[in-house]
Order: sequence, then structure tokens, then C-alpha cells
Amino acid sequence: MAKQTKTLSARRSLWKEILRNKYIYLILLPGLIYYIIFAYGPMYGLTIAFKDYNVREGILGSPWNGIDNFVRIFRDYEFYLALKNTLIISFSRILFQFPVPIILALLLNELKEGIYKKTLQTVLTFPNFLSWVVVSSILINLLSNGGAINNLLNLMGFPRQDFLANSQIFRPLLYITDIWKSAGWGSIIYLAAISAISPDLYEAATIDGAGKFQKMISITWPSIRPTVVVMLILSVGGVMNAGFDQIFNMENPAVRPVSDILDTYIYRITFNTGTDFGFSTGVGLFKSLINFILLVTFDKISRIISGHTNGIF
Amino acid sequence: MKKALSVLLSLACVALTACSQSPGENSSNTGVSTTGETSSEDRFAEKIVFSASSVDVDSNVSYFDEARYKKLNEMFNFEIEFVPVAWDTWAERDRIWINSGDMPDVMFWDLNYNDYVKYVEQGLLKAFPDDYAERYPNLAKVLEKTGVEEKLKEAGDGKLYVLPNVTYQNLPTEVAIDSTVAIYRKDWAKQLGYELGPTTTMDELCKMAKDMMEKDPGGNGDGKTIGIVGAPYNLYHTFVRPFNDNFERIYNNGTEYVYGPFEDATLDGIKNVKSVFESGVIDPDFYTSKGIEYRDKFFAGKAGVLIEGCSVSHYAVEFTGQFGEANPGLDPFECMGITAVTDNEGVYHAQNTMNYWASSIFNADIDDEKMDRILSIMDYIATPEGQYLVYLGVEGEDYVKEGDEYVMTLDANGKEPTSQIKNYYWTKPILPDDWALVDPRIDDEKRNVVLDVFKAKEANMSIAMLDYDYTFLSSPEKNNFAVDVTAAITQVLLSQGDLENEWDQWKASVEPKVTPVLKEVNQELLGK
Repeated sequence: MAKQTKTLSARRSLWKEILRNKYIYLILLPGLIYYIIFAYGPMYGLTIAFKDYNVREGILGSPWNGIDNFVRIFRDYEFYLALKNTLIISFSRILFQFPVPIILALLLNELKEGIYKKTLQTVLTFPNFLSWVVVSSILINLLSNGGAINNLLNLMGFPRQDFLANSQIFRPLLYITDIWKSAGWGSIIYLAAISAISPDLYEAATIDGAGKFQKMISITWPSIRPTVVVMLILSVGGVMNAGFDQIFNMENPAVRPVSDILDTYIYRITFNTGTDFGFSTGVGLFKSLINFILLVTFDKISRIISGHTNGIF
Repeated sequence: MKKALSVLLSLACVALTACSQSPGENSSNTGVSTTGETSSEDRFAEKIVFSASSVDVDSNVSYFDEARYKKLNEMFNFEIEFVPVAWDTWAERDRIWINSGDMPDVMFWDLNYNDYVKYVEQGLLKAFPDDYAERYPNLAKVLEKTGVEEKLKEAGDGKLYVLPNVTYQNLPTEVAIDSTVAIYRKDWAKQLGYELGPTTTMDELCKMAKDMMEKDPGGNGDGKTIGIVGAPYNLYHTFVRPFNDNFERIYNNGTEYVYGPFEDATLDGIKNVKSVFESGVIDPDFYTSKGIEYRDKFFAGKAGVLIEGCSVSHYAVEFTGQFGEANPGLDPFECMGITAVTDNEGVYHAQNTMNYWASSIFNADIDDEKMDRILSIMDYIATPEGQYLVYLGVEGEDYVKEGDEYVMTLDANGKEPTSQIKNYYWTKPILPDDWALVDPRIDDEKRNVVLDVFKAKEANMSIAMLDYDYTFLSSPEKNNFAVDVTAAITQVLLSQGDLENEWDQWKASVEPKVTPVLKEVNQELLGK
């Protein structure tokens, strides 16, 4: 009885809260509707993963087939290969790529405002606006056997190298090109966090005799740490998305054993080798599930480590 | 003697084909006479508009002013909504459109039997009327020539849901075989003292290509001439197939269905292509080429040999045209030779192919009248007169006849104007390969260059025959079976590791996928 009263009063206070802030909730409404229609509504389509999907009968009308699609998925060696590659590439990206925009933002922050800083920021941000189709075409032209780099090596008396067919080079090439393309853009969020730090802190530190490096370590870094943690949690939550656009455009059959990720695998089985949406959705569902588990787990870990000060949920 | 006989046979074949397709012949039963007068029933009084997808069409160029369209419109009273698709994405576009219910009224589709069965079962395609053979007799003839009409009807409980585009009405060989050849720089070969016949062994071809690289007759500069270019599949057809005719497929070895890639002979073939690759003759960047980019290296004069599928239409129109554009001042027919590549004993290892390529399918939701109109147009196009209209145009507008010669009307740039009606694939129930056999603008001498190669292949060949029972079997494991053998060969070919070891590893990895299919197929087809 006491519990029921408590729930009712909680409901009442929620409505009171909504009524009190009705205009703020009104502003929230379009976003909420968007997510209901375009994100949560279509989720019923995930049931295809457990169905023998038939276009004419639709998502709801197609017959259930239990876990048949998953049995097929777990029997396919290409799935395991794609899963392994996805995890290796994603975690390597976090290890090698994630810190780069942070370091870049810290360094850019140390530059004096002026034309040099602005030019540098523009130059660093620009590659982000090139599509992977363009970047990969440039790379293939540079690195192919008859490309500029091999011509240069040849001119210097070195043998030509099969850069594009070399499995050991392919993954580092992914990280390096992605850093070149995205680090400048990625640093913007950290620069925004840095710009929110009160200048009083730096002035006080200067009076206390702190140098540039000390200010960076003792003021800038602690101030942007919550942003870094949120970005890290989001990166871990997206581990199963290893970069479809980039890999799809840069890979070739010679490096497929190290380049094939879940997204390229889903693309291939959906559009190139046969039409089985139940199977493709099954792989997609598996991917989303792992992402969700990683996101929640890493959020919990980060809360425990930071004493419940950093986290998303 | 053999050569003379093959020339005679080719001439006879061309003559027969030409005789069987004189433009005056008329067997249309569509309510429209070939003179363009409508019948008394006037089935086509009401204008219809239909959407049609195709590659090679440009939605920015109108077709309304084309004489071809005007002529067809007089007879059939229609308009078309363009749905252009690109060569590199049309297959996946088609899949999306069919599965989302967004397919055009008539769609250019790469007929895949497994998908066909699924689409028919799901009711996604419109069935042809039961009496289609009487209503569209010319299309019925085309269908018969494909050799798969009955199999396609079996999948649809006696109804037909697709119109495959026939490659040849009169095959240049007894059974349909692949058109893969080596197209080579004849002018370079002459400079180096080579004169190739309609067939050449693998070793001879590699030797010539190596010479072209080293002696650089094209003047590209030291080390800049490439020997052989081609798509991976065509390269393996040339250098792996001679060791195992079934290197990439499941086939019946006389006792049971087995998987060709697992056989030792396939490994021997891969060793062969690896040694050719390591000799430097094959383009070191062959695996990075997207689409048909590799052809550019040949047409631009960077490579001596192009391994490619080549029909009369390819040779006499498409490839020579591209070569001419890239090399003004050079005569493409003097500079480009073609030869079939045999094993070192002179045997050509052929692949028996279907006598069709791609197809037209119809949206299940279109009404009977619209489908009847589209099929009626196609039926007319399948007559000899229709063929002349689509491929040549209208006399007096697109061309004039001077004696036996057809003189085409050219635009201000000296080129034949683009025709959307000609380019559209729904207007090609008979593919250009067949038209090229009778096209009055192509000299017999040029036509015979290709036909001689076909005949030479046929004269001494080992052939991997199509297994219709297997191809048209629809069963759960087989329908979901997909292994990219070409990609696997490319991987081991370029790998730094031990070839045998790498191939064994690949075999072990695909075995769990292959075994259930073999078990199912052996049980379904052989009762084992």
C-alpha cells in the first residue's frame, strides 16, 4: 500500500515537473518524435533476424524460423574472420587514433591566436571533407606498383614493393590515413572543451609561476578529462563499426583476410552473393548487441574507476 | 587446309545467319504490321507511360526527337520514364528495388536462378500471359534459342516470369562457349617478329608479352610497358583453367558431385599463374583494378595484351572504337589482333555458357495492358525489321543506303548521335552479339577475325559443360552457397607465404560450407 502511494506521488511530481517546464519539454518534443519514428519505430524490423523473410508478406507476415539464421551465421568461417578483424581494427583505432585529436587540441591550444593558428586548423580540418572514394583513389595511385612512391623507390635503386597487397601494411595504412583525414576534425570537440575553461585559472597559475607544460598538465587536462571519458565510452560503444567507408574503398582481394570487417561482410552477403535479409539482419543484430554490451560495460567501469564522476548513463 | 576450312565454315555460318534475318521478313502477330500500320482492333489507341531501367542511358538526353522512337511510337503509342543505372552497381540496385517493392515497370536484370525462384515464390514478378507464345511469336523464338525456357517455367509452376536476352540466334559454334581471348598489339608483335594465328599457347603468349615489356615497341620508356592486363577471373580462365576445367565450381565427375577448387589439378593451375605472375608478365597491379579500368591500360598503349571476353560486336565496334579514340591516327584493325590462348599442347579449355545474358523482368503490380504493350514493342524489335530499326535506325534519318553500303548520319563532331532507344537494354531481347553477325556495316573480313577464333577454339577443345540439373536445382544449402574462388586465388597468388600451405588453409576454412552443399546436391540429383 505504501509502495503504491509512493509510485502515485512520484507520477504526480513528474507531471508537475513537466507542466512547470512545459516550454522546455515542447522544445524537446520534435527530437523525441524523430527518435520514436526513425529510431525506435523501425526496431520491429529486427524480428527479421528470426524469420524466413518474405517481401510480399512483409516483416510482420513472414514466418518465424527460430534461430536458423544464427545457426548459419555461426557456421560461416567468413563471419568469424570478419568478427576477428572488426575487433582488432577497432581496438587498434582506439589505441592509436583516439589520443591523436586530444594531443592535437592540446598543442593547438598552446599556439597564439592569429593567422598561423587559423591556417593550421583549416589545413588540419580540410581532409575530413574529402570522401573515402577520393582518398582511396589517391592512395591507390600513390602506392600501386607503378605509383609515385614505387617510382621514387625505383629511382633510388630500391626494389618495388607491393604495398597494396601486403597484409602487414594494410591495417597500419588504415590508421595512418584515418588520422590524417579525421584528427583535425576530431580535435574540434576538445578545443571547444578547452575554450570553456576559465582564463582565471591560467592567470592564477601564471602568477604562481607555472610554465606552459605545467598549466597543460594541471589545468587543461583535468578540465577536458570528462569530455575525453565520454568520447572514449562512445568509441568503445562503436567498436563493432570499424569503418566501412574507408575499408570498402581501400581493400582488395589480396588483403581481405585482414580487411574484411562485419560491415563489409554484411554488405557482401546482402547485395553481392544473394538476397537473404534474415541472415543479414541477424549479423547486424549480433553487431548491435555486442556494441550495446560494450557501451554499458565500459560506462560502468569508467564510473567505478572515477568514483562515479565520469560516465554517460 | 584447316584454316581454309574454318574460313569457309565461318563464311557459311555468316551467310546462313544473314539469310535467316533479312529485314523484309515479317512474322509479327502483335496486331502491328512491319510497315507500321495498326490493325483494325487498334489495341494501342491509348498512350501508355512505363518506367524502364537500364545501363548506358542518360536521363539528361531526350529521346523524343529520335527517329527510332518516333517510328516505334507511331506503332505502339508510348512514353518511357528513364531509370538509369550504373554498370558497377546495377545488380545491387536491382536487388534493393525488387525487395523494397520499388522496381520499375520493366527492369534490366542479371538473371540469377536462385533469386528468380525466390522472387517468383514471393510474387514479386509479373507472370507472362499463358498464351505468350501465340501473342508474341518473335519473342517466343528468342526464348526457345536461349534453351532455358522450360527450366524457367518449371520454377514458376508452368508460368514464365522473365525474358532472358538471347546472345545468338545462330550460334557461331555448335554449343555456346566462352568468348575469352587475348587481344594483343598486332603492330608491336609484327615489329618484334611475331605473327599469331587464331590460337596461341600460354608459353608463346607470355614470351611475346615479355618481349613487348623488354623491347618496348610502343616507346613507353624503360620498364614502363605492361605485358598482360585483365580482370582476375579472365586471367585465371587463361592460366588456371588449362589445368582443371572445373577449377571454380561444383561439378559431376561421373560418379558424384565434387568441388573443383579442392582438386590437386586446381593447385597446379594456381602454381602456373603464380609463376607467370612472378615472371612479371602480368600487370603487378591487376588486383586493384575497379570495374573495367584495366582495359584502359591496353587502349592507352601501356600494355601489350588484354585478356577479355570478345564477341564480333566487341571487336568490330566497341574495342576498336575505344582504341581509335585513344590512339588517333592508328588503324585499330591493323593494331589489334585477337587469339585464343590454349594450353601448351594446343588445346583450348572452354567453358560452355548459357546462350543468354541478363534479362527483362516486370513489376508484379503493373496492369496487363501495360505489360502487353511493352511485350508487343519487344516482339516487334525481335523481328529482323525491328533489329534494323534499333541497331541502325530509320533510313533517310539515321542512315542512307548507297548501293550495298549503309552511310550513317553523323553529328557535328563526326560521330553517330547517341540513341537512347538503341542503348536501352529492354530493347535488346536479342543482344548486339547476334546483330554483329549480320550488321551490314561490318566487313566480313573483320567479322571473320573473331569467328575464326571461335572456330579454332572449337576445333581442338576440352570443355566444361553446363550441368542444367545442377544449375536449375533450388535447394536450401545450394541457394545459400557462395564462395569467392577468384578472390581466394588472388590472395594466395599475392601472399608471401608458402602457396600450398596457404591454399590448404583456405580449403580447410571453406570446407564446412562446401560439405553440406555437396551432400545435399548428391542426394537431390543422384540419390546418394
